[in-house]
Amino acid sequence: MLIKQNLKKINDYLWEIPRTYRSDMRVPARVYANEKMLDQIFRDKSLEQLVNVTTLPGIQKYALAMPDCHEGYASPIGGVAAIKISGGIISPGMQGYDINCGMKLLKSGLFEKETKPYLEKLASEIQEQVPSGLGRGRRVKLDIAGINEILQKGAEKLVEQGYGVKDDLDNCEAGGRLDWADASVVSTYAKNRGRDQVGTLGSGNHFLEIQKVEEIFNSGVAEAFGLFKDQIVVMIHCGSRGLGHQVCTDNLREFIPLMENKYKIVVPDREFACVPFNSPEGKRALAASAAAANYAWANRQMIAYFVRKAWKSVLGSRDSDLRVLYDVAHNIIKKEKYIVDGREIEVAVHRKGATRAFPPGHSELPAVYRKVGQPVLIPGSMGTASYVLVGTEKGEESFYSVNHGAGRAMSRHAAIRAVRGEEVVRQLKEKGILVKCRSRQGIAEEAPLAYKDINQVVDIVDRAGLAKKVVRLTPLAVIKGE
Amino acid sequence: MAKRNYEVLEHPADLKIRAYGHDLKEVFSNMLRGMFETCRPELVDQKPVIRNIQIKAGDLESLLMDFLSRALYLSDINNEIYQSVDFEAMTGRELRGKIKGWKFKKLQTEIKAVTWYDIKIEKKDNLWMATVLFDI
Repeated sequence: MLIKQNLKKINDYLWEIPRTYRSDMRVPARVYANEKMLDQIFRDKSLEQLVNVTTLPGIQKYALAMPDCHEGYASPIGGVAAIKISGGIISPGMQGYDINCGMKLLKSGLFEKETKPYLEKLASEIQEQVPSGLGRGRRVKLDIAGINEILQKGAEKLVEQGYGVKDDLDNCEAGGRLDWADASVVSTYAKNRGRDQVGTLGSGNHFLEIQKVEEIFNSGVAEAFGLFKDQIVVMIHCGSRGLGHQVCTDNLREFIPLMENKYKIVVPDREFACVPFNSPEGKRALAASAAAANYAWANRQMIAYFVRKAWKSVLGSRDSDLRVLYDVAHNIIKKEKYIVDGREIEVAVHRKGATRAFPPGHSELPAVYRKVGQPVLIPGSMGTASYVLVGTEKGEESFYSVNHGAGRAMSRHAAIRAVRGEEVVRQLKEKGILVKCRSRQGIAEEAPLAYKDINQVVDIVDRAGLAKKVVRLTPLAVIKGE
Repeated sequence: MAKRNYEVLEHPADLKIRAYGHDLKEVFSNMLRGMFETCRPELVDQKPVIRNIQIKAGDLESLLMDFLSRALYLSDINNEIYQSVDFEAMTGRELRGKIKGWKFKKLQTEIKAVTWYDIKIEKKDNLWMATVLFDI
């Protein structure tokens, strides 16, 4: 069993499990945490799961865990693996079922005081407009041809149809469309699940929040991002819904016998099911995953459309455009280039609950952010702060990846036992935060006490230099699916 | 009938269910029931719905996995939850039958997927026991 003494302290924010810990490790494992947080991480199986990640064929340098990491399935949530494309594998379980779960942030031009009288109405209208998708309220039902177009073109397709503007695509990872997506390799099962879920939020930790910019840490970058003190913004957190879940399920189902019988790859857990990246099956799975990622960008685009509609209906002539700051995935597989052992190589970065954070000058960034770096959107737990950070050069050490949130510290069951939903709503109300959620149990499960402290988690990322804090956002209204 | 149909085990983030049964049919049926009861559905009415299901797999774990994944798919596209199974055939590699349930108005918890992580199905002291982690 892994104990703290097995870890080597690299610095105050970084710890290493050496390759000698287990004979099947191909590289060391590294976790970003301070000593206190490390103790918390040891309470579950995160680090054992991280050691399992190090066994994947083609993994480069080290398997990484972010400070918000917690036990998942296969990799811990908050895990990153960069796998060499030539000779390495693709592992859909290392990306997770909610393909391209991610964040979108909309900026208003309004100050808090201008929206305060309308906050309740805005929150109610947004809740009305954006369905959870868990049964009732699915608004759009597409035919398979319509789904295929979204799988191929992502958010771009919705913008073409009038559900957004070009600026939305410019300020989105990959322009809201991965070109290597192929709708023809996505199963009919997955497409059927996606037909009436475009523009739906889902449940669990997915949410919408009306927030204000509370504190600015870097005024130059905040200005470049168009952020100012007391500004009202809207944060969206959701993913690819049933379609993405099915794509991952299908890929794993196909990979398990291939891995065991055809490619003879041994992994510690079937959830890591993988095949060579450049094999026909690997290429197909990448194309299907990309199609699901496109669906997720379309989903967030449609939700942004609904939010804008609610905004206009409540604020009328006081309306201010909601412009996209950025949209970024935290569950995804992407091809990227890094220098390893003095040579540039192409790797498939598998991020599972980890946010991409590109530095200034990166060619994949939109022109508007190329000088300063990528906006990195980090949500807190319900009712706590969220952050916008900016990518840095130093982030290269973590394959330009940072955390994706606060990270769970308590099971849903334990949270329900510890606090009642009504009590959470009351406590948040005392802090001036409105909560719109139809399920009181859902609120208890997502109560702030069930999560790590987002401020500490983000401080570790900031101090480790992987990304730097730009602004802190505090919630004014939380809207949850169920 | 086993003493308990199923129980929800502790897990830091997701949903882990252990189901019991005196035979394979019962343990599969109880896992299905546990999975959908945990979603806390609000039903449309008491009118039953029935779906045919047929699965073939290479081993018992894969059979359970594919069975639950298919039920999850049917639930998602039809807005239904399922409570029991009428088996017409059940071997360790194949099952055929009807799953029964109801239409729902909404769910409070959404299961994203059935995971392979730590999936187990075993017989101990004449009692079948299956453990599955669901991503929620």
